[in-house]
Amino acid sequence: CHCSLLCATTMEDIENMEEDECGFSRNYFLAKELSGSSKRSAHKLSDINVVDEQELRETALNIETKHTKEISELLNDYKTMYSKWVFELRCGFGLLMYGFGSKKCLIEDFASASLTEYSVVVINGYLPSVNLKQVLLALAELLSEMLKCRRKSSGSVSKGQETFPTRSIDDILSFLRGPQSEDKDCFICVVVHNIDGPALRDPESQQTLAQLASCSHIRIIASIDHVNAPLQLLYRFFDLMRCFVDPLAVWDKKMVHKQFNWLWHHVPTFAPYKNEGVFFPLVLAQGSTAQTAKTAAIVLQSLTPNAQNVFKILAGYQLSHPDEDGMPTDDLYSASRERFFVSSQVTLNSHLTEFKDHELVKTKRNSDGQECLNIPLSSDAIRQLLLDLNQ
Amino acid sequence: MAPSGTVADPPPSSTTDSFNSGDTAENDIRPFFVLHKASSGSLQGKSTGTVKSKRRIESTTPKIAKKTELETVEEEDVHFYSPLRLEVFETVWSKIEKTIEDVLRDSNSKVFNGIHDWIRQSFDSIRSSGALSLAEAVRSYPVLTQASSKQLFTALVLTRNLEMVDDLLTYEELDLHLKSQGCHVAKLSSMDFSAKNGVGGCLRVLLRQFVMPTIDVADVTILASWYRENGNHKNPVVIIVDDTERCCGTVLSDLILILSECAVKVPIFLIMGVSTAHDAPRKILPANALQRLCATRFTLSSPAERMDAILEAVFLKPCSGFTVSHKVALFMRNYFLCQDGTLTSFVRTLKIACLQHFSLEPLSIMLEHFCQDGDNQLSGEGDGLLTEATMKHAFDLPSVTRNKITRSTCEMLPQFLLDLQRMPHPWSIVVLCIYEAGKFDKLRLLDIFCETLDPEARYLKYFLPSATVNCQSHVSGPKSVIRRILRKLRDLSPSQLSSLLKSWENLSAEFSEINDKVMELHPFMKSVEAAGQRQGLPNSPKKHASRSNSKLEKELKAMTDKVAAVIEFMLREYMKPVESVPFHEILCFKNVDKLQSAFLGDPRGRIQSDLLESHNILHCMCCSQRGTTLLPSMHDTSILYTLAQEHADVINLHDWYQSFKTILIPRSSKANQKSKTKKRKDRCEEPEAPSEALIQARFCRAVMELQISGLIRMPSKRRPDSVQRTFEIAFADIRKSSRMLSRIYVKGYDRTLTGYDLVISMREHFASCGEVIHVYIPGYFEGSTRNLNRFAFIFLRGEGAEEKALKLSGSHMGEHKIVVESYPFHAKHLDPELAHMREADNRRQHKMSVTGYDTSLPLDYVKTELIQHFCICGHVLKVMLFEESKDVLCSTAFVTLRGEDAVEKALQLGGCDEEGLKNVEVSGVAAPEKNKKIESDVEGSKSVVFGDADTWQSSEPDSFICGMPFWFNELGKGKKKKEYSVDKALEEIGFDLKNLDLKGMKRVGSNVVSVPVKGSTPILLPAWLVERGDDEKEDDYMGPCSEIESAARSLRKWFFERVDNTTE
Repeated sequence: CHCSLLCATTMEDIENMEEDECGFSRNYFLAKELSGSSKRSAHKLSDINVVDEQELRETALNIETKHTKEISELLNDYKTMYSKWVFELRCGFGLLMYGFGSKKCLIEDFASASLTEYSVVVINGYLPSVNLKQVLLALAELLSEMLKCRRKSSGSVSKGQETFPTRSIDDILSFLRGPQSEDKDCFICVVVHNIDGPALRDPESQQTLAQLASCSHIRIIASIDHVNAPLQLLYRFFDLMRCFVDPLAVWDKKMVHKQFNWLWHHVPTFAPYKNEGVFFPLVLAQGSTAQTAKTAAIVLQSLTPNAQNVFKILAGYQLSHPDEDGMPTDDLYSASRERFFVSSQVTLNSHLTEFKDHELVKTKRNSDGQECLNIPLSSDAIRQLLLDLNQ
Repeated sequence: MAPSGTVADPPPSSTTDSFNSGDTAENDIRPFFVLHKASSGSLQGKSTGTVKSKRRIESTTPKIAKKTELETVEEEDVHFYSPLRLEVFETVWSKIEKTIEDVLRDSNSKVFNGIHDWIRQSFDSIRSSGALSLAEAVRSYPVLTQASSKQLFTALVLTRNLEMVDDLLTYEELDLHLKSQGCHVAKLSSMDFSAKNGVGGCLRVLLRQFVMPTIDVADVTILASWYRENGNHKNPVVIIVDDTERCCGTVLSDLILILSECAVKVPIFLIMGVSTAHDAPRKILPANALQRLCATRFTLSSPAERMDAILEAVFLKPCSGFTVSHKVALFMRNYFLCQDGTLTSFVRTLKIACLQHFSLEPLSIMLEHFCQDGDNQLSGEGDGLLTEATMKHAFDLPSVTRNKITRSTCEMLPQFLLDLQRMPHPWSIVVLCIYEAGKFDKLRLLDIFCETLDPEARYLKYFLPSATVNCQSHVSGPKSVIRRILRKLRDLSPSQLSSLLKSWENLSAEFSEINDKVMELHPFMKSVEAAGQRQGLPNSPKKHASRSNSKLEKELKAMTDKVAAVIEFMLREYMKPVESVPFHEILCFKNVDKLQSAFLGDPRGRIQSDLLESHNILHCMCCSQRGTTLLPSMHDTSILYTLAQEHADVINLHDWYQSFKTILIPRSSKANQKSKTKKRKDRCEEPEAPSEALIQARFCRAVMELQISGLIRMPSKRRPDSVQRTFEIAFADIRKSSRMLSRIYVKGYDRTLTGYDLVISMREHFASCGEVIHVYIPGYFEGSTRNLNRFAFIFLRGEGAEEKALKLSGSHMGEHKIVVESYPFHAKHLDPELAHMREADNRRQHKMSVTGYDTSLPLDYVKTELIQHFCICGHVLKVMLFEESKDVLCSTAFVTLRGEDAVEKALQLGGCDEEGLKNVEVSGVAAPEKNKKIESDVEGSKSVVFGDADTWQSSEPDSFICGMPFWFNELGKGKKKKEYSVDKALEEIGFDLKNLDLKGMKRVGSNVVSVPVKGSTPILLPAWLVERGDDEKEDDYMGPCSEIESAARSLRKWFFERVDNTTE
């Protein structure tokens, strides 16, 4: 009966602490800590009377932000820095924004207000589905379009235009590395929200980003939220172990000094991490580890239409066969092939890997020994998900 | 505070609302999207045609503007960062960058030419010997099968730099250089030698570079057939491997074997870059690959040398005009020496400094005129540069007001600017002259540069009329480089003096005031040289000259006095640091804080302070008044993080939530009313208690935000009710020691082993995890017959060492299954159990090996610095350091420490700040002695001394040993065992043992020293066991100890002479 004890102490303490307004809770906290100096607090999470998870999520979506006025003033203050930032970009530096609070709005506002002369591409690093090759392709296409436009205006003959999709990452990078144009001021700005995000924190992606940053036609504006960012200097790129511990431990000196060429800017915004936080579970609702329909929908929406359709087949099967262990992989293949969603087993496998990576699908063997695919969501959640997808 | 609504926004609509716009929702969930494309209109607009005609300097910084004319902020900003500013920055920076590149190219050119000559010579000799006729190259199987024909000509290029990043450019230049000389060159980086792709991947990269870029097979015969095509065979084939140490050894050796097989067909030259050690190939390559290498060595200039060359070219020779203040220079120096150590980072700091200068100082664009070659001087109003606004700003500069220069002297501005512009600047001549003098003492320009920039340097003050050279040394700080130079000047030999004079003459050639003074010295120099020739000893250093050379002595003394007087004259008249000159702000970047925050950032510190002091950033009325209490109006995450501060590493979620809740819910209606009346602003106050669901949701969100910031880690499966605070590291310390040390806890091993055996087996067992620096068995001492302690600690160094070690938990060591647990340095829970053993351990001495100092430094200097460095860990009983050969120190020193947790402290200690010692670290702690015991031969002494020479220990905790061990590693092969009496040897070298006041020390150790027949058996030289009384007496021992050590050093020499004699 921790609760009654807690109440008793609370009342007593409040009476004692008429003057010391809020000191109480901290003392309570300290006392708890000290009393069990060797033993940890035995309180269980389940002692908290957690409200229904659905309610919790809905409430979480509608929390009123405190200090909205101050925050918007803060953001307005940063506006005076915009022209300095542009100057720095034009001088060849990359901008790395850090400080507490979501910097997404700030950077995008900066980009649309002050970088109108340049094309701006935004990468949402907080999404687990970022594919850097696609980004590079888009960048290369943008650049070639830009160059074409320039050549036209300057009257020179345009070179035979190459198509990019067939080329490798290295080829695209060497195209971006340039110089394709005499004008030093010809570059595309790449905004990377959460450069320490889940899909970008592996060494290969960081290496690609670093190479991208060193291209003469590219400038990077990135945000970083993790406090351990500067640990980068301690570790070498080759030590793959570290990257699971600290996201940016993969920056080596070459990347920092030669490629990214960061200028650090401390810009706390205190804005809520609305988008960045979607993929984090709610700490009090951890009883249900399964992903919710909403996060699953977001992942799916970032995939190709074909992948979405494959998922829909699987979801449909699971809804119509609620008692089975799941859909046998072979069945899924033939069903998807019939509807021309996949052309080969290889494409299907690549979709399945994507699903598994984001925990949308689990495999198990059924009683016949067949490999079966199962969506770890309740039927209701799947229905909701399909609704979201079809919107 | 903020300009808010009154801001005149730039054309594309950007209002405050845009921060909260909802229509981007779709973009938020797309992995990437194009925000907008470059507006073509502005593309045309910013074409550079119109830029040059517009030459106007804006007078006010954005900051000033913000205060005075709010509505024109944006306007001013646009003008401030005008295209002209960018253009000037680019001119200035490209000038600096080009200068640096040229300097680096020059410093390498000699080595590059050497490499090319070597390739040519070897290639010609191959061709002329006929070993490689065209016919043979075509033949499918090599005829020659002798081993010699399979040798690969290899050049080892020693970069003397651990950081690859500095040498990227070097290898690129080498590539270009050799290509321009007609060689076929391919460059491989360590990335190409991955175990994953194997030697095939490596060959593929080679063939792509030599034959054609689209090739996708890995067949070395293609190389041979390519080589005999199209006259390719007239030139050698060169393969550069830039970072040998980081290559995968097996892949590299495979490649060497393959290449050497075809060496008879294709003359391949391998260039391997190694960072510091010539024996690097021996470390990573197996013997069969090593045999194929026929190596020649080349050495590049060290980073410190290159750094000095860059400094000289950028700041002291006419370059861009841009310069930095004392504080900025000091920051750059410290960062280079203590933290990063790469030239690349230095260049980057310089670029950031330059950028910041242009964005902070309106007048910086005047640098354009400094940058231009030729006589295009600043002519004042002529070209409209000096507008009224500019003048106003110029005369508001602190350096101007400080010197009481007012507008009335307005017409003098051009004159001042001309002075600033004057090249060669007398200041830089003086600095370079001092540098020349400092070269005899191996002083670095970097240090001299930093010291001479200091506007408040002491040497500027000690040129009072009464001051003499002697008392200067008193006045200046203990670490003053200039003092050192002045002192060293008196030890110079005549030839050194004359070369010094010559270099001064050259340096001052364009500045007659100094040049005249230098020329006046010539007659004196001549008479010194004449005197020297008479004595026939022109080159012997002054201090070693025999007494009979009194004439020379006298002349030399007069000469050095004159030289000192000239230096003094130079310092007095021309040593005006740039910061003391009016208008220097135009050229000189001073804001070190801005530089540091832009260069390094400080996410952990800043994000933590964002949260703990959120009101400082938000400037809200409601929370600013809170003092130390937490208010519900504060940002939720701030509240939660402040609560977490009062908690240990593991935070119980339930408790955390409860305390969070108590803060959010107003206590009682009564208290609520009371507080309401107190508060000035109620807007932030919750009108009523929030619902349970809301509190929980807010709690969840705050936890999530802390998680995003990396301040806490989520509950693990093992501990579902708590979150873990992330390991907080003192960053200043960590940055200093670039290599992480971890402490782990081990139990379950065989406790009947001896300490020695346990340490050895632990070292083997954990060798795969990292460097095993220290195995600490609490309470153990040599000769102890008790069972070992139940647990031991292992100190590992290396990235990921701890994780790897933890995986060994449950593995078998012999028949015993060991348990490995983490016991980080901040953990204390085992300490009570340790306490009693530690007490005894703390009273023992601990010996550790130390590496990482510059072996070219003077012995005494390193020794003193090591004592200084380690004294914060405990009592430094002694430092043993030897010379390997003349002026070269052994790479390992031995430090003996005693004191509370001395070993742990020493292990965690970062590098030393002193030059040449920045990488100092403990590389190992002496293991306990094997069973061998060397009994003391002192009659009646109760103490027993154990040990090989490098692990001397005394069994008595209250005593320590001084003396000096040495051992023969290379000597003694095939030599007869000879024995010498130590006393006799001491007598021969003239060491008077009897009259030495030993202050109660007793002599132990063997009297007879044997020169061993083979290798590594150590020899014990005279040692004294010191029975320690009280701590105060210890300092007394240092005197005799050092005398004994110097005797031991002479003894060592004496023995070596004997050894040498016996061989002949």
